[in-house]
Amino acid sequence: MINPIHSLAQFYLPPKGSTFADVTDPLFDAILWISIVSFVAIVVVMCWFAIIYRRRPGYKPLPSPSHSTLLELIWTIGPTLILVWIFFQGASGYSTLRTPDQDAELIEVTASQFNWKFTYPNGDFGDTLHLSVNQPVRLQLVSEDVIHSFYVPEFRAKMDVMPGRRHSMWFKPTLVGEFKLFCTEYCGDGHSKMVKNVIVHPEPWDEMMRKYVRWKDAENHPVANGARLYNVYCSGCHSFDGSAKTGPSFKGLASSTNREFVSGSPLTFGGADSDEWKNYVSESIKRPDARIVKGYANQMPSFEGKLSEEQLGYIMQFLKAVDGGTYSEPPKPEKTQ
Amino acid sequence: MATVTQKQQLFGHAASNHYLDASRGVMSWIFTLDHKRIAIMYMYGVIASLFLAGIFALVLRTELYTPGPWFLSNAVYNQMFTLHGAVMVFLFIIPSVPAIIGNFVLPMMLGAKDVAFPRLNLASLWLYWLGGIFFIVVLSTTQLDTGWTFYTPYSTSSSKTNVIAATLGAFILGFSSIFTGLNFIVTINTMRPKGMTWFRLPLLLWGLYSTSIIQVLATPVLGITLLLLIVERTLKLGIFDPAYGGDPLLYQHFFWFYSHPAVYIMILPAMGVISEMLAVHCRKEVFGYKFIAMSSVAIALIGFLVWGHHMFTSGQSELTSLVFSAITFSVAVPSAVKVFNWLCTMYRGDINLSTPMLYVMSFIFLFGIGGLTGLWLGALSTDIPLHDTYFVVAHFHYVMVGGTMTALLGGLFHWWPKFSGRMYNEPLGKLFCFFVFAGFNLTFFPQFIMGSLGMPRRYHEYAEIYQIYHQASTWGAFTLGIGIFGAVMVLVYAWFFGRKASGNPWGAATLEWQCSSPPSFHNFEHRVIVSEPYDFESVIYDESVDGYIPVIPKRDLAPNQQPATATH
Repeated sequence: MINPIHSLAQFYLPPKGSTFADVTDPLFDAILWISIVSFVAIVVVMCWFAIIYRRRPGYKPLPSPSHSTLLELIWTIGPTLILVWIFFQGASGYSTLRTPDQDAELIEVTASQFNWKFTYPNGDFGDTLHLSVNQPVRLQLVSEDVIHSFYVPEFRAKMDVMPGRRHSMWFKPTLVGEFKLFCTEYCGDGHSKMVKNVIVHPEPWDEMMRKYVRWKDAENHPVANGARLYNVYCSGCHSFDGSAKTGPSFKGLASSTNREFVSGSPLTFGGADSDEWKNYVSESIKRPDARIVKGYANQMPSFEGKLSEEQLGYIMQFLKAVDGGTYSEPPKPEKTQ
Repeated sequence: MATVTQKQQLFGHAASNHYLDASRGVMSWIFTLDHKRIAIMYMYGVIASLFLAGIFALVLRTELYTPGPWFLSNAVYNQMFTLHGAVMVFLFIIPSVPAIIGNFVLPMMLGAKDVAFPRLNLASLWLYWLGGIFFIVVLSTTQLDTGWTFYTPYSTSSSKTNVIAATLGAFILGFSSIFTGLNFIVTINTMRPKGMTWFRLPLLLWGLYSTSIIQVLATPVLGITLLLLIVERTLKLGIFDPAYGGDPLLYQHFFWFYSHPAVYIMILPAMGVISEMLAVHCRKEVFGYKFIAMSSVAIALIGFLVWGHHMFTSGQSELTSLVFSAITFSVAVPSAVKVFNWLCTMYRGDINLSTPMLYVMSFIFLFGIGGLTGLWLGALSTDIPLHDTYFVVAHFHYVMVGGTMTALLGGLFHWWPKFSGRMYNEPLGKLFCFFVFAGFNLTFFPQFIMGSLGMPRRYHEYAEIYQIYHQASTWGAFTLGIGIFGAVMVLVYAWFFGRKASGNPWGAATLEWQCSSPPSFHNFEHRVIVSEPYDFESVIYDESVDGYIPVIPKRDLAPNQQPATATH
C-alpha cells in the first residue's frame, strides 16, 4: 500500500540521513495513522452527540444504559491489541538501534561545557565530525563535566553523554551532506550553543580520512594550530568577534594593556609579547579560578594537564591573530626538508 | 408541601450565616479550621502562581520569537525556564485540583462537616504559603538555573546558583502535599455517613483518593532525594556525582520515581472533575461507573512502575527500557477506556452546553491529543529521535495544561455558585473558554512539528528553520494568556456582582449541592440522606428558587385502603 502521507513526511520529519530512519519512520507514520483515525472518531462522535442531544425546548432524552460489559470489553481489548503491536514494533526497532554493526569504525567523543571533541582512530582530533557515506561508525561517548546528549535529527540517533560512564552508540549515515549535531541534555549557559557540524563525505572511509582528518602541527602555521585548539576547547564559551558568550570574548585581548577582575587588583600588560601577558593567559587556562574577569562568573574548567606548553603557545599566537575580531586562514608553511 | 418561603430558605441563595461571613477579620481566615476557607486561600495562592509562572512563560515565548538572543542573555533565559517550570509544577499544578476543589467539595460530597484533621489541613495550607513564598524568593533572588528537574551533576557541582535553598523550598512544599493526601485518605475512609458505600462515592472522590495514595507514598521519595542532593552538594559524599564516585543515573531513578507518579497526581483529580461535570451537564449517570472508579486506582498503582520511560536514552540497559516501555503501554489502556466511557455518557444525554461542559469537551479534545502523542514516546524506537525535543514539551503540556488546567478552570466555573453563592456570566465564560482552547492549540500544536523535526528543548537559540513554528507558538501563548486572564476575571466579577445562585443551580445529585450556596459553616443543616451520586431523578427544577430541589418521594403514613377481604 502506498502511504499517501509519506510524501508529506518532509513537513514533520527531517530528511532520512541514516539507516535508522527506515526503522523509526514507518512506525512514526503507523502511529500517526492510528492516532488520526481514533482522534477524529472521538472528536466527531463527541461533537455529534453534543449537537443532537443538546438541551433544547421540546427535547426529551430517551433512556439509555449506564454500562455495557460487552461494549467495555470491546474497547478495552481492541486498544490493548493495538498497543501490544506498537510495543513490539518499537522494541524490535530499538534492538536494531542498539546493536552496532561489526564493521563500524570507532570514534571517541568527548563532551564538555560547551564543546564537542572528536578523536579519530589515527589520533587526530577536531570539533567537526567527519563521516563517510554508508560507513557505519561507533561512537564512544564520555563527558568531562555534566550530562550532555548527542543528537543528530537526520540520523534519528541520540544517546546521553555521561560523566564517569562510557556509553557507546552507532549509526550508518546514508546521505551525503552537512548536518547539525545538537546537545539535547540541558548543560548550562551555553547549552543551545553546543551545536557542531557533522559532515558526511561521499569518499570511502580511508580516502575521507586522508583528505579531512589528518593534522600535523609541524605542517601547519602556528596560528592555524591555535585555531584548531580554539575550536575544540574554547569556542563553546569564548567568541573572538566580540559577541557575548559565557566567557569574555578574545577580541582585543592581545592588544589590551590592563584587565580588571571581580576581586584583587587589576593587571597591566606591556602588550602580547610581554611576559606579564603570557603569564596571565597561561594562568587563565591552567587555573581559571585564580582571577575572574569583571562581569563574568567563575565557570571555566581547568585545562591543566590537557594542553602542552607548545599548544599554549599556539593558542597565544591565535589570540594575537584574532585581536581585531576576525580570523583569516594563514598560508601553510613551505615544507622543509 | 413546603411553602415558597421555606423552599427559598432551604434550597435558595444563602444571604447570610454562610461560611464566608460566619466570622470576620484577617485572623478568622489565617487561623480558620474550615476546609472551605482553606480551599479559598489555596485558590489565591494557586491562581497567583499560575499568573506568575504564566508571565514567565510569556517572557520565554516572546524571547523565542527570534532565533538569536533578543532581550535575554543565555543565563537569564535558563533562569526563566527554570522559574516557569518549578513554579508551575510545585506551586500550581500539583496542588491545583486537590487543594482547591478537593478541599472545598470533598467533605461536602461525602456528607461530612469537615476533613478528618482540620488542623493538619491548616498546617498544609501554611506550609504551602510559607514554602511557596520562600521558594519564589529563593528562585528569583539566587538565579536558580538547573531546570525544575535538578539533574545531577549539574545541580551538585556545576551550577553556581543556590540549589540548596531551592531544593529546601521544594522539600517544604512536599510536606504540604503529603499532609493533604493523608487527610483525604483518612477522611474518605472514616467519615462516610451511613449509606455512603464505596461504590456510591462520586468519581471525583475516587480520583482524589487515588491521588492521595500517590502523594503519601511517592512524595517522601522526592523529599529524601532532595536531601541527598543537598548532602551531595555540601559534603561531596559521592551519591550522585561521578567525580566523587557517585552515579548521576541514580538521581534520575530517584527523581522520576516521584515525578512520574506526580504526573498522575496532576491528572487523576482532573479526570474526576471531568466525570462529575460531564454527568451533571449531561444529566446522566456516568457510563461504566465502576470501571472509571477502578481505573483511577489502577492508574495510580501502575503509575509507580513506569518511571524509567524518562530515561530511554540515558544508557540504562536495553532490558530495563523494554520492561518500562511495556508497563507504560499498560497504563494507556485505562486512560483510553475512560475517554470512551465519557463519550458514551453523552449518548442520549440532556446536554447543557454551559461553560463547564465546553471545558469538558475541550479537555477530551486536548487530553486525546496528549494521550495519543504518548504512543510515540512510549514506543522505544520512535522515542529515541523525539526524546528531549519540543515533541516532549508539547506532549506534557497537552496532558498537564490541556488536561489539568482545563479541568481546573471548568471545575471553578462549575462549583463557583457553591464557592461564592453567585452565578458567572455565561456568554463571557464561553468566550474565554474558546480563547483558552484556541490559544492552547496554537501554542502547543506547532511544538509537536518542530519537535519531530528535531528542535531540542531548553534551547535559547535555535536554527532558522524552526522559526515559523516558534512564532505561531508565541502568538498562541498570548491568546492563551488572554483566555486564562479573561476566565479568571469573569469569575472575580461574578464573586462580587454575579446573579445570586440557588443551592443547586445545575440539578446535580451529589451531596455538596444539598447545601445552601454558599454553604453554611457546618455545611449541612440537617442529617444528609445519601443516595446514588448520579440519580438525576432525585432532583427537580423549581422556579421559585431558580434551581433544583430534592424530590420528596410520596409516602403515605398509613394505608388508607382497607385490605380486600379474602373470599373463598
